[in-house]
Amino acid sequence: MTMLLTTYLEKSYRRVPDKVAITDGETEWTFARLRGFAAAGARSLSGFGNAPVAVVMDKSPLAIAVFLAVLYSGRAYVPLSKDLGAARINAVLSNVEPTVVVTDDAEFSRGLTYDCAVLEASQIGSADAELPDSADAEPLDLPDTSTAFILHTSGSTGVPKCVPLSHRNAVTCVESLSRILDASEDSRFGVQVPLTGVAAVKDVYLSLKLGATLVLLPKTLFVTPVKLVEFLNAQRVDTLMWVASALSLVSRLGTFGTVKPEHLRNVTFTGEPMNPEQLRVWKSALPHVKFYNHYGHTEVCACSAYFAVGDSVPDVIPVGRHVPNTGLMIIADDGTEVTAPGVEGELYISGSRVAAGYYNDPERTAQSFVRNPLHSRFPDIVYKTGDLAKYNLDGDIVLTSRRDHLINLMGYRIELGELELQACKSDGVQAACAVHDSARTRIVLFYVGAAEESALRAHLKLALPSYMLPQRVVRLQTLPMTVTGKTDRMKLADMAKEY
Amino acid sequence: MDRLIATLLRVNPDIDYASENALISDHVLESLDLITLVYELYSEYQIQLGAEDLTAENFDSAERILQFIELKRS
Repeated sequence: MTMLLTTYLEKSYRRVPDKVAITDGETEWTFARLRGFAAAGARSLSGFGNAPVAVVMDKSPLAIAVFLAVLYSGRAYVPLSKDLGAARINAVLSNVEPTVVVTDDAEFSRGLTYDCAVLEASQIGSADAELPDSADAEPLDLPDTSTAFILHTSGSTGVPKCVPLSHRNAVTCVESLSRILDASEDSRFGVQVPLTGVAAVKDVYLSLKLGATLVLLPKTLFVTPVKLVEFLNAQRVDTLMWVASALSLVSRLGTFGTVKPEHLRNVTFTGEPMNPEQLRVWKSALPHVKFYNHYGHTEVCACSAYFAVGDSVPDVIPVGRHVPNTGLMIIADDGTEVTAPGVEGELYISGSRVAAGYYNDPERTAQSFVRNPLHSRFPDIVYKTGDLAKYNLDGDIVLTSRRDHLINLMGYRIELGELELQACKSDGVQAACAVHDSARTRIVLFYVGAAEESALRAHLKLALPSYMLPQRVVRLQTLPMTVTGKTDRMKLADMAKEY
Repeated sequence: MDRLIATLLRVNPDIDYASENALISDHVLESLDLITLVYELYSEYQIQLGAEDLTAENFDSAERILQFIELKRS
């Protein structure tokens, strides 16, 4: 049988129709309601051709219901949210060319420069729990290589990269995750990550597969960590798959001195290196919880490697070993595979989780989706991550650095080059360099030129999503240079601590 | 008050701290701002914030933050 993402919902619906599939603490959607909405929604999307369907919505149970409606219609969804800003949304839409936008804010979506039909999310399926339960879902007759969703990530050339991921890519992710995580139908996932990013694929579809419950955590709770943990307890959340900085936020503020999560069993962190000191705080507060590092990329549909944290937390937390049905290889500069510990090379990923390439972008596709460097007998496409890595003495993979300046901040992937490029487009900016101040979870942008800081900020605000904006902007007379004449990023990273 | 406003502008320069009175309640400050806020208040006033301090009551306006700082330092 072809395994599609919709199969997960079909099976769980038959097994546990009346169980809550998604809640945000206010509304609850059972599997029956979710499937009913998806089936009805698929019908109302049938008149819009086969192009992808953009979904511009806040994080909500309804947004996930709309994603599923798009999948049930046999199309691919493009998840976007208003906080990306109109400029970024327009850039993605112009690239992907959907024929319809489904939204919870029609006024905003009609105001976009990209022109297409706009549908209210609540109207595509009935939000009434009673009606759609009886609706039949037509079984999908698609190959599993069909695109399920198209995600966007930051690109250093200033144009966001869009990654089409197939049902097979996503099913591979979910199946491998279900084998490494101690989760079941009774699990309750506390979803911190945005629904627009690849990390949400793990929460949403693993939960649908298991017939478990998704608890969507409002972003606003992360400003009041005590309330956040109280919410986790009230919702009996037992699994967190969060970005590392969100976990650090809770521990760094001393939250566990006031309240501890009572029901947790699994905690995974992803997106950026976890601060070992903060992980120790989590572990000593919650000694019975299992902690895992998850390493992944949008291009390989999330987690391709994992590391189970043992009794003691190492100072550098490895990305670990490959998840089931996924290959990892470290390739040295001479093109040979590294097997000995301590030798650095670039990390490549293979398997049926690897995307087919970037959307409408043959050039960047050719750079990152390459033939397996270990043989040339037939086209065996693997993903070239840009991450430099080595094996440690235990045989686990440890990241050493990046070939470029890609960072993750609160779960958002940011190319610092894109920020710098935008800064240089601002009037009166001659040069710019952005650095990641990981200790304080922020970006500091240094620039040279006559531009006022406020004018530069205003320009960036229009051009970039809010999560890409620097927390500090600092004007310098000149940017420090290395002996080879390049901008001295190390020096600037050091200087960033002063501001 | 000027010293506090200058400190808060380092946290997020786009907020009008003189008039804003629902920094937490209306989610004007976001979680990333919060980490910076804790750091800035520590470097400027040497006060250590805990999670239990981060409430609307203490942080909704510049005036309330000032009262909170004074309470913490006394």
